[in-house]
Amino acid sequence: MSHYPEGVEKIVQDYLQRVAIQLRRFPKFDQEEVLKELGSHIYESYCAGSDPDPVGRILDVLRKLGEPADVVAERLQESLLNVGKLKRVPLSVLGGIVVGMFGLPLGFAGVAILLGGLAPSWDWWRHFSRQRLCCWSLVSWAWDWDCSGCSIQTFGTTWWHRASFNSTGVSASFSICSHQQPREGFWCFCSWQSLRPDWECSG
Amino acid sequence: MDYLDGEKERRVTQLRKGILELAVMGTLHNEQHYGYSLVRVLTGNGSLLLKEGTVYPILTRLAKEGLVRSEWVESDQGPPRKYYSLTAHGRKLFEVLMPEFDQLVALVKQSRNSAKSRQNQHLGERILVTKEEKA
Repeated sequence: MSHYPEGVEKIVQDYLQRVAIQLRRFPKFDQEEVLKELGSHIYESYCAGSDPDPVGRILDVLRKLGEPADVVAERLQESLLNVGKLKRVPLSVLGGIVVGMFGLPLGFAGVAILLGGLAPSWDWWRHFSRQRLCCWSLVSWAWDWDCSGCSIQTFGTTWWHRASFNSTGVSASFSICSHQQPREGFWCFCSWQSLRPDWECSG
Repeated sequence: MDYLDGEKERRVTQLRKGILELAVMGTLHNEQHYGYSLVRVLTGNGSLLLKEGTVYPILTRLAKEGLVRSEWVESDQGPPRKYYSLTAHGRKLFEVLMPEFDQLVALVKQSRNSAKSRQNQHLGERILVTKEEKA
């Protein structure tokens, strides 16, 4: 149902169409929500206007609302940031699984340390290295049943500290990775492994 | 001059961005609003000039952060309105942020006043020196 005179309706629809084009990267639900809300705003603002000429009044409303690209720009920035965040988590988990699989014959801890040592030399990796390393090492340590006692190993700018111990039926493995800048980059992971009958820990 | 105007506009936009979020929370702290009524309150006395569309991304962000809740309400006259209100968490955060904001404003005013008084003192000294030189 139209709430406007004919000429005005066309201007409003044209404006919303331009907003819709700007919103094409958003999820369907968000698109509908934004358009519905802007439609409501335009109507309220139009009704409150004082210009006797309906066309002049609606143009004033749209001018105050802003260009479609500007209206969407700020939302777009946040949306893209969220997309990045969403993609990063599954990638890290996948990385952890891959490391785990390759680590089977080599020893998970070995692979994790190797990757830790290589990480600073990979440019594409630099921005996410800490987060990914830690995620990978978490998965690796969780799967690593080898209990080797305390160790500190240094590879390039990456340090790994590890302490493993157990008591009857319950074992714990702590690993701390400090990457590039020790003060900023300390991470601590703890994987509890309980009721493992085949545990023989010498640490 | 054009450069200065552009610079001023950029700075003012930056300043507004942070403050606008607080202003939105403050307005919703008192009562619930739909987008247009919120804009009317914010720009009501003409002291704040803003593109009306900038309010909506702020509301969306606050809603995503759980500081604001919204609901669609049917309207007798036109399309439905989306009403916003502060959540308990948003209310608590606003009450924490407000004293911080007041402190900042006081700090800026204080530095401005002391700069002015230094300027006056300096001017007074110069007048005194000029008078002594003439004498």
